[in-house]
Amino acid sequence: MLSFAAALTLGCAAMPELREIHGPERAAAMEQCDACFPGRAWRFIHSIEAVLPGGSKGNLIGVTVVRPEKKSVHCVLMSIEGFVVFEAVRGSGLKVIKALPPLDNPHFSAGIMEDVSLTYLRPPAESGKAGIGGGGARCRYAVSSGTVDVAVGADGWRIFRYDAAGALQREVSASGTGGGGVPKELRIRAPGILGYSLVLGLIESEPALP
Amino acid sequence: MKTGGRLSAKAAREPRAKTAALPLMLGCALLLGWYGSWDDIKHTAETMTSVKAGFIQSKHMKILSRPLISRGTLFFKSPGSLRWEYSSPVESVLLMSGRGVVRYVKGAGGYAKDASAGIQSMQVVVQEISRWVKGDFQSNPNFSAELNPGGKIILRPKEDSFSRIIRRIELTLSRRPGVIESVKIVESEDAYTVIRFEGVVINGSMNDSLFRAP
Repeated sequence: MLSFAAALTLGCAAMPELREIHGPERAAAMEQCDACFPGRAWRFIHSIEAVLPGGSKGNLIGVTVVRPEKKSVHCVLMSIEGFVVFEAVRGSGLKVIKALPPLDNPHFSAGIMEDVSLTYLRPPAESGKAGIGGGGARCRYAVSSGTVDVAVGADGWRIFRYDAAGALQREVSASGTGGGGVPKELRIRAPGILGYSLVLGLIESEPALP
Repeated sequence: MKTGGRLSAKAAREPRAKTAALPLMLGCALLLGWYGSWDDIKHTAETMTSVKAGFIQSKHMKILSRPLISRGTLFFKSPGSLRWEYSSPVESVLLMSGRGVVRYVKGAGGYAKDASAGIQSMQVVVQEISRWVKGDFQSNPNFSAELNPGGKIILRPKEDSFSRIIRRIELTLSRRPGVIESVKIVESEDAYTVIRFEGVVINGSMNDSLFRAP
């Protein structure tokens, strides 16, 4: 009952007011936010623990190649034993290469690739502003589906995606630092009654070919 | 005496003939190994009551710059208990008994039961492994088996729907009787997994608790 109430509350979480900052302070804040995203092509391998609606847990291994210059992400999900259950590329469009049941639902493909893009691709800088809101400094970007906020703290960073009405759709939080400043752990949360959460533990990361 | 002498001579010749034939037979056996036929393999495997083996699994995919390496241990106890355990990169245990396959994954709070999508594919492979350890390559309705010289066995899915998941499985038998050296599971030309077994212990004592939930 408590988690149901919490889910409803999270589902209604609203975008905080932003008190904008300008000049050198803005530039410094935007630079900090930029640093949350890979600046060049990068490959990540993660263990993934998924908590699905209803509370069942599933574990996978994910390989992601991010190419910021092409605004593309390539993602493979496999079982711990190495069976590929899902593979897709999202660039100018979404191309699903492999999707085995039950991951063959188009909503799943679009959703997972959107989550990966939100985590690794910096929103367009020209749409960004910086300020104080939600209890700390954050950058705010206007995107086609609504708004993306990036908040950098001492212990990591958080990304929030809000819909056009300002309701929270996704939250990504990063903590710990592995090699090359890559976060050791990422948590992706989709709030609401049909919400889910993913915990990604870094196995390895390295620069990739552009 | 003469007759007896002839008999003795004959009797003396026969063991020599048998002795001469013995190295030839051994030579043939060594040449063919224990995998000359399906029957040879099955008869060798019938003597096995338990198997413990370490394994190194390398996953090859176009998206990777080098294979993803996983390590673990296989435990098998006759007639049908199997534990497929990974120690890295993700600690997990797959258990198979008469009631199917269950996976447990280690998290912050210890081992927890898992319900992920890959389990069905692995269920097929784990069931296959328990068949292979028993020397049974031909009874699976999902795969056709082909025994090639040099102890190479190729399994191909009988149905197209299944070949979407696994195109073929290639097994290489070791010269050591009863031992599988490696398994290659081909999902596509760009994605395949090689599992190499090492430190194989046959018919050692094995505690039943290994096959219970961790």
